Amino acid sequence: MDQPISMDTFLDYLFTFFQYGIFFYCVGVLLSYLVIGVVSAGVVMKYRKERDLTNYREILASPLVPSISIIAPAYNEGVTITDNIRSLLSLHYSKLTVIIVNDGSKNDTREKAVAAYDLEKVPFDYQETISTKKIRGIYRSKNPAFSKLIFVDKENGGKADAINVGINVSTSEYFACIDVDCIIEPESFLKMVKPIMEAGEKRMIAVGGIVWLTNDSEIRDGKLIQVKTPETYIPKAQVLEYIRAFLLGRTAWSKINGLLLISGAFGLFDREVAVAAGGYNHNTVGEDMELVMRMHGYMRERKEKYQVGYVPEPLCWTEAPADYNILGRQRNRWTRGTIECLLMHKKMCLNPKFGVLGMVSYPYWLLAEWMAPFVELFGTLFFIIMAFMGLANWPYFFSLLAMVYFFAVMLSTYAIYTQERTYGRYTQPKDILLLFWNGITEPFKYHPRTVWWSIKGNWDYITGSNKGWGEMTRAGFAKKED
Amino acid sequence: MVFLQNILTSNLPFSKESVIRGIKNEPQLVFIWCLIVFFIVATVVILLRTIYIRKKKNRDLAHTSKLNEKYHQFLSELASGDYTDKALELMSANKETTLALNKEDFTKEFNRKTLLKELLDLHSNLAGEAAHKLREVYLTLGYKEESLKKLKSFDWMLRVEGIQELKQMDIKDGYLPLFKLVKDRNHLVRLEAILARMKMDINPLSLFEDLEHDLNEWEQLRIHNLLHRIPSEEVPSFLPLIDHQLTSVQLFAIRMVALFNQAQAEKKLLEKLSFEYSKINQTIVESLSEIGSEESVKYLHKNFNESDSRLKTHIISTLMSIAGEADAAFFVSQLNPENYDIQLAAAKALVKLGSKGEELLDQQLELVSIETKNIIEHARQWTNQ
Repeated sequence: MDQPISMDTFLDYLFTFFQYGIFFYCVGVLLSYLVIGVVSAGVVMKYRKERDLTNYREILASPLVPSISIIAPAYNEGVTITDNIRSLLSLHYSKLTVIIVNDGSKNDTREKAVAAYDLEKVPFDYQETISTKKIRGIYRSKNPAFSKLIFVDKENGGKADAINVGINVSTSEYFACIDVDCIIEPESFLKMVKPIMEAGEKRMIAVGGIVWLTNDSEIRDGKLIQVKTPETYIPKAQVLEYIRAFLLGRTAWSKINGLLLISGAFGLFDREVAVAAGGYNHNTVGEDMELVMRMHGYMRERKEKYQVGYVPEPLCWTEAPADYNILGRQRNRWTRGTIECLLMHKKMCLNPKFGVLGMVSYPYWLLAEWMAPFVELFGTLFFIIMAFMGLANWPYFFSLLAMVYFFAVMLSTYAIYTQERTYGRYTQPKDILLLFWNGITEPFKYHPRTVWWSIKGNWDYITGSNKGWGEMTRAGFAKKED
Repeated sequence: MVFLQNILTSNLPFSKESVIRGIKNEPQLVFIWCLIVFFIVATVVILLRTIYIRKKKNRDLAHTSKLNEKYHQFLSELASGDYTDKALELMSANKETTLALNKEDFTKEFNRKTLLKELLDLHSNLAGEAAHKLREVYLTLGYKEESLKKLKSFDWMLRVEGIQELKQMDIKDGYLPLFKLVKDRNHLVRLEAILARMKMDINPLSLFEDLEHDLNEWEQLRIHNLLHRIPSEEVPSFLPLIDHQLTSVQLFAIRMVALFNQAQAEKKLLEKLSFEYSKINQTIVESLSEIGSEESVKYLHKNFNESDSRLKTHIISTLMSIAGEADAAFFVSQLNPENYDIQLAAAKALVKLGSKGEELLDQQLELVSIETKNIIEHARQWTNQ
């Protein structure tokens, strides 16, 4: 009969687990960052060369392009709705419809839009292909100049519900989901459509693009004139974070068709597949990631050839949260969204049926995204206990700490370099130095907070104490232009 | 494992001296510190390189802007006839000309590249004698040889540039090496070679005999754009390609037949059409709306009931385009089936018929269900959307 495990043996196991587990985990994550960085740089450089040889204007007048509906949910956007719609209507694409979904705003969003664009309520046989909240009315402009615009007024149901309404109203082959307060580059859709048309036998079910930050940049008439490094620390730290995540991270994942997330701020989706997969899920705050995972799953289960594409170029610009409270709420939500999505699709984990998605992407997200803050927290606590017990190996501690730190700084510098080699949107050397300085201070000043917000997000998920989006306050582009 | 045990379990007291002594005495730690030094050096090198690139970009941008202005003025004046052939002679000898240019402009790589870019930009916007003069400049300055050399480059980007330059300047010496590139391993090179061959080859469709890769929709778009710019009588007949071994080329041919209104292909399309749903069948039905005749109407009617429901909606739209009012009764009959898309297509077809269709829809409003009424109202509002 087996002897029961004594407390000493148990502690011994625990001790060994922490020692080796955390060590191997850290080495694995660092190596994965290295591989991702190298793969992405190659892909981005190649894309950049191809882009320079492509005349995207050729798409403009062609009858062969697929049709696109932009779906922009609006909630309490009374101040900016008129400018935002104008900006969307000015995008360069021939077969484009702009669908604004007023998600039961409590202010004058609808009235402002109706007055500015001469809208009138019209009959519309709304087919609820995806189940949604009730529609109050559908409006179109009396002015033929705005014939591309459809304005939907509905009861409040959240962002996912608003986009689902837009999908139901849309008749286009593709729909683009965007945040109404984003600035979209005028040629964005021309660039997003190219990978769809190039896909050949594979069906391109979704395409993402880089979202970058505009804080303190020069914006005129809803257009980005010059990109500048933000003046304050919090947005500046996020710039570097976005460069690493969008330029290096997602590019590499799309290369192996393992991209799990297309930003809710800007993405293009195959309408037929999205509808067949069930549209956006109301029951998660990570609805953007959840839809992409579900569309992947849908195609994999049907064994159809498909691709989730990515355009590694800044096509959408948004404003980053400028104070820690709002940023904390955002990161809390992202964490909860990630957990919900991973749990909803847990059958994918290490399931060969889902290919790269199940064998690489999912485990990576689980270990390097969801678990990372726990490893950092418990690793730190474990070390502190060891130190108090006199068991710490200080020479190794300082050496490993320095190694991880300088690796992180090198990776950030490499991200800045890749940005410069490819798009070079920061035109002054001063901006580059500012970003580099952020890379140096980030591990002490910014990163611990992101770890804390993630832990808090996990706690909120477990206790169910915070299920919503939380209020997101932005200064707004229009206001700044004044 | 010994290495890990050393890392993680050695019990050393914390003091500055013990840490430094520990690092010096442990070979594993020396290795870690080598890595740290490597990271620091790499960071500094990458940072300096980034700043250098940025500064160079800013400098080149300013220099290019100045050169562009100078070259644009020179080439515009040359193209408009302000300079004589003497100017070209001087240029060919790489001597300083009486013009605004000097030897550096013809010999320095950066200047030559900028001049070529400006030359190509201007040439693409001109025609006739002016374009011919710019072509002469291209030949005189030896750009032709450079473009031909680019075709053999290992760098796909240079091969693309070479093709684009030779295509634009219509250099006959480049035909043969360029035509072979439709089989190139790089997709962009292939596409540019296809476009060049479509433009330069006496028998442009012969390139499809050599084609080994599928023709994706982007490539189809680019070819269509090229064909769209030439007079319609010079556009080749795509009829022979409808039976091409590659499905993507078949699709392309069917689309082109419609876009260039090649009615002679109607019979072939009807032979090819079957009534289960496929991309090819859908494209054929859509194309018939452009080139179809009474024969197509009869054929579509005959097979309508056996057709896949997704095809039926396209058939209704096509019948509206070809038969028009003559099929009004048929469209009315399709308002009743229990398929929303077919009902909507029929209602839209009636709306498109104009007053006659509206009259029929008014009559139907009295007879149909509330759901169908909604469809009719919807079609009236959104048909031209």
